[in-house]
Amino acid sequence: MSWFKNTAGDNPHMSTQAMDSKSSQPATPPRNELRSSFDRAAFERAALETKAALEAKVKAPAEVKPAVEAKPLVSVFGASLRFKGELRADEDFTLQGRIEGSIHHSQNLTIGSDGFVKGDSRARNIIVDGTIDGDLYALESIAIRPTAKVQGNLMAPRVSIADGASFNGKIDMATAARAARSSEDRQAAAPVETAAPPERATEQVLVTGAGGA
Amino acid sequence: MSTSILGPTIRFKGELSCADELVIHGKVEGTITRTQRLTIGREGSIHANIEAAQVIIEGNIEGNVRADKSVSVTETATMTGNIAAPTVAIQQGARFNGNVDMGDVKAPKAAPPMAQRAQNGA
Repeated sequence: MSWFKNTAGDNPHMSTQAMDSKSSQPATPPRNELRSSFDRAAFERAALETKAALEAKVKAPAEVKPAVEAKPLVSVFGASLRFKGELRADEDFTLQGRIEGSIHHSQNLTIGSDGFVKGDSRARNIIVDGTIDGDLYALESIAIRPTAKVQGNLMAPRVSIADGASFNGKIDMATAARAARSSEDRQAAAPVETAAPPERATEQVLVTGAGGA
Repeated sequence: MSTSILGPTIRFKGELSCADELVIHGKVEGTITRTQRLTIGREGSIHANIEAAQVIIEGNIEGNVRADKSVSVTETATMTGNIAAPTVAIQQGARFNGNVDMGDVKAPKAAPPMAQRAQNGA
């Protein structure tokens, strides 16, 4: 291993070379200073970039393939999509396809202008631009937009129906408000399940109210 | 051609079909039919029989897959079930348990090559 130490200064040639390079350095102090300050700025920039890249990497869902990474994991329900059955979701999405069955949603649900739902939908907020044949239950609000066609009942503390929309059905805000309030207490357990069919919902809310009092 | 994406929190039970491209990152139980190009993402978990033109599997599947064109099982995939397709690719690293059938596919779209193959075989 002795030859390994040579580079540390045992070799006279090496040491003189080192001396030479050292002696040449003080000869150009301003340039050196300039370079060092420039290097520091560049280094800081590079460090920031690396940090940002690292953070982005951490935020990105574990090593998705580039093709998928370009499109983040957000739901898109295209017009050609057909569902028949029970759909559950905990993320906001806009439905442009066709669903026959029930939707259990814990966040914001938008039925797009090409969307068609045959069945009951439950969500926190519901916005309707499309066609619905069934009941809507929202914990917070329902908005029926001008292009919507709704055949069914609405149950939510806040309901809006825009001019131009077609709507046939019953609106129940009182029961929904109470149901939403009681659901807030039980939210952790079942965020969307609280909205039961309207006929029974009234009874249930009354019963729970009596039990609470 | 539009792409539909089912995010990771989507859980679906029932019949699902999509005339275009469909990417699933969530959970599906039931059947998936009449889809052009189906991708099961890494976070996707499928308990269903699948019929599509082209299937790419990166996640978990329990069920049978029948494709008119091709099935590719990537290295991140875990699959239990049978594959029936004229072209099947299973990448190294993939976990696969089941049968692969490349010759007995009912494929209306891939009819000419299949007919040729049958004639050549006979």
